[in-house]
Amino acid sequence: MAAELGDPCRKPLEQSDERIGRNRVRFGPPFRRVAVEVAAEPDPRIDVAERDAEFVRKLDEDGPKRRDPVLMMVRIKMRRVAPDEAPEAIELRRELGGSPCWRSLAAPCVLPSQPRETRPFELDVKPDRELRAFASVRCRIGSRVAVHHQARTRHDPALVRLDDPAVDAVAEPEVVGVHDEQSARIHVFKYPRGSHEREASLVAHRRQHSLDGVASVSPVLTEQDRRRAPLGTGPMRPALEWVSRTADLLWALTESDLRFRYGRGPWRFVRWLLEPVAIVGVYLFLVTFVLDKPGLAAGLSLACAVVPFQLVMLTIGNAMTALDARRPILLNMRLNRMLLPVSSALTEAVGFASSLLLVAFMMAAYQVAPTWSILWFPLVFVVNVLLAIAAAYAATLLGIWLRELRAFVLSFVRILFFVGPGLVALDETERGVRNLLKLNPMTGLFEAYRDVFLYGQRPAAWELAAPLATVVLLLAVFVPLYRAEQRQFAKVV
Amino acid sequence: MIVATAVGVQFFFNRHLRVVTPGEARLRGHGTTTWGLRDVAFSIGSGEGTALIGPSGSGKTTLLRVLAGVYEPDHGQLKIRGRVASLLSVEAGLMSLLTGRENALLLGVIGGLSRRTMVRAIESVKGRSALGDAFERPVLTYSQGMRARLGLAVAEELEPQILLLDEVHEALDHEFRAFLQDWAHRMLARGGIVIAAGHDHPMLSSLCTRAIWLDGGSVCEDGPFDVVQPRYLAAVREGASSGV
Repeated sequence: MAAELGDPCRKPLEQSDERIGRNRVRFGPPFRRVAVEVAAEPDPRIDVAERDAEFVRKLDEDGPKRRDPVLMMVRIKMRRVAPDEAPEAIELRRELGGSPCWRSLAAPCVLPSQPRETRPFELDVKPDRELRAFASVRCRIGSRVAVHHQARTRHDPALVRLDDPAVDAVAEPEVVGVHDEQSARIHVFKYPRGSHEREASLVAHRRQHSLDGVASVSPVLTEQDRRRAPLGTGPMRPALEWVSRTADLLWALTESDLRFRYGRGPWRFVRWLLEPVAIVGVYLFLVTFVLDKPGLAAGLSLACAVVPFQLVMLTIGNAMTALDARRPILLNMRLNRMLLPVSSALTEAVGFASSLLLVAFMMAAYQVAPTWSILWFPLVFVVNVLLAIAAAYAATLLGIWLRELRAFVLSFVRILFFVGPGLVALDETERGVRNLLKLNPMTGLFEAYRDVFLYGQRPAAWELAAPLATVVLLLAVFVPLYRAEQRQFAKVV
Repeated sequence: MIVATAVGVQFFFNRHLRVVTPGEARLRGHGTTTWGLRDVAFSIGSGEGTALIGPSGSGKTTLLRVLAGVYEPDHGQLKIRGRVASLLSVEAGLMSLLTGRENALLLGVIGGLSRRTMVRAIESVKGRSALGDAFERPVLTYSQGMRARLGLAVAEELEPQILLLDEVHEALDHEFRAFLQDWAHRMLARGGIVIAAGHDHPMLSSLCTRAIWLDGGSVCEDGPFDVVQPRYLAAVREGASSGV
């Protein structure tokens, strides 16, 4: 839009001593005549702005006596205010006394008796500032600076100049939209605690910032998107945002997966419990009566192998079909697909928590009292979940590479139970094959569970190191492959 | 703002003509490849409603999926500024065994809202979708129009700046068509972008002032809707009369 200025009020602007400074913005009386640029080929469906002849005539008649409010888009540049410039801001509202439109903005301190000031006055606009906040910017070279809301003080000038026409003359001009961003702390200061406005402001603020996740999935972020941040300030902000967003996403994916695979209601827990109970029952019968090798607390020993193995086994089964189960989502919207295997593992971990009741039941049945060694269980559990997650990345890939061999892959994994100390404890196996059995990553896990729940002792280092080494190996091999292949998942589901 | 430069999307097929990933293609030996999109270039600015027209298999859906981030370009460059909401099928990303409420929560979180925000907003989604008691039933029991309405209500909750529609509006009833038109016009007035594909040209003309005619994965013509659409229809009639 071009503005044609033919008004006496323009003259002061043209005076050399009143020229608008490069780094300042002046609020002056609004320009009277606004020419409207009409498209060469007007679209009949769009209302074209027209000049109001009556309005212009009144303006001409009234001349400089009137000041009518005119809506117009302005570009506001903000900069820090030096301490010696601060008093200028205090004079603002006094300066505004004569104009009806300004009076409404500055009602509390209007001084009607003040003579109208025709000279355009200037004011350095200072935005809300993040207090006590410091941040370092990834690309900034070697310094931390205060976070300054709106101003580009956090940005490396070497990079800013590339796309800022004010800095770089050869850069393309940029249209600056209306600034409608709310300060991250405005709701703290503006509204009293407990008020409806404060709550609404907080909700709007969180909502506005929570949309960052959407923006972040776009290949190119806007400057405004980058500035929005839901969690605090400082150098940890991006990491906190990522953690919060990932946690929300994992929760939602896992929750939906649980309902999708296991339905709803309390019967889910019964179902999770029934499967390991049935397996332990069958194996207990096999070990006790068919093989006649009951050993020490055979039922509990079996449960200590079946429960962790079920977590890995079910996770692999889940991960192999994870893409098919989420096909509608994969085909409709962008999704962080790197989280799908983790979600599969978490889904089955919930079932795992239920099946732990079996271990408790067996301890009671065999009158094995818990000892302090049970405090090692969280560590053992973490290793178990990590093994499940690492296996899930491999399983997801194998699930799409070897679709027709999914059943075979599951059978192959099931072999790990039998070529390890699954049915009988490691101490009860032949001494000659023990070292071979230790090559099975599940061996250490089974024995760690037995140490914690059955033998009442601290797990040996190798029992946790062996599965962890497998985790590292699986992640090192399959995560890069997964990362490369996940780009194509939507094409093959 | 959307700027596409020589965007190409490639599909790999194995010997059984099933689409596979490049990794699987290497793993199982050589198959065949085809380009779903090739050298597609355009630029869409703020406040622009754009229709993708063309025959079935011309690449409309593929292009929308690329814009939504579902497919990643195998060639070229795509720059998108703004939050994207997509309704690329009548399924609208809904999982059939989950209820409307559960689906809304899931899609909202995947779309970028925090879980807490989405939990608070779920009632407004329910109201906007006008599903009533069906909101608590599995999506499996929904008609196509009900699914589209739920997807639309969730998409609106995301407050997108870019809206992608792929024939979804064609499953909507008249009431929701009007609602969609109104929403799209408000988006455009705010400087948003609406890109819609389909064969319902009167509906497209109400949403879009520009049309991109796709054929064989490439852009045939790009210009005002009133210009491009008649040419496309003329080409279709010409092809039909010549027996092609």
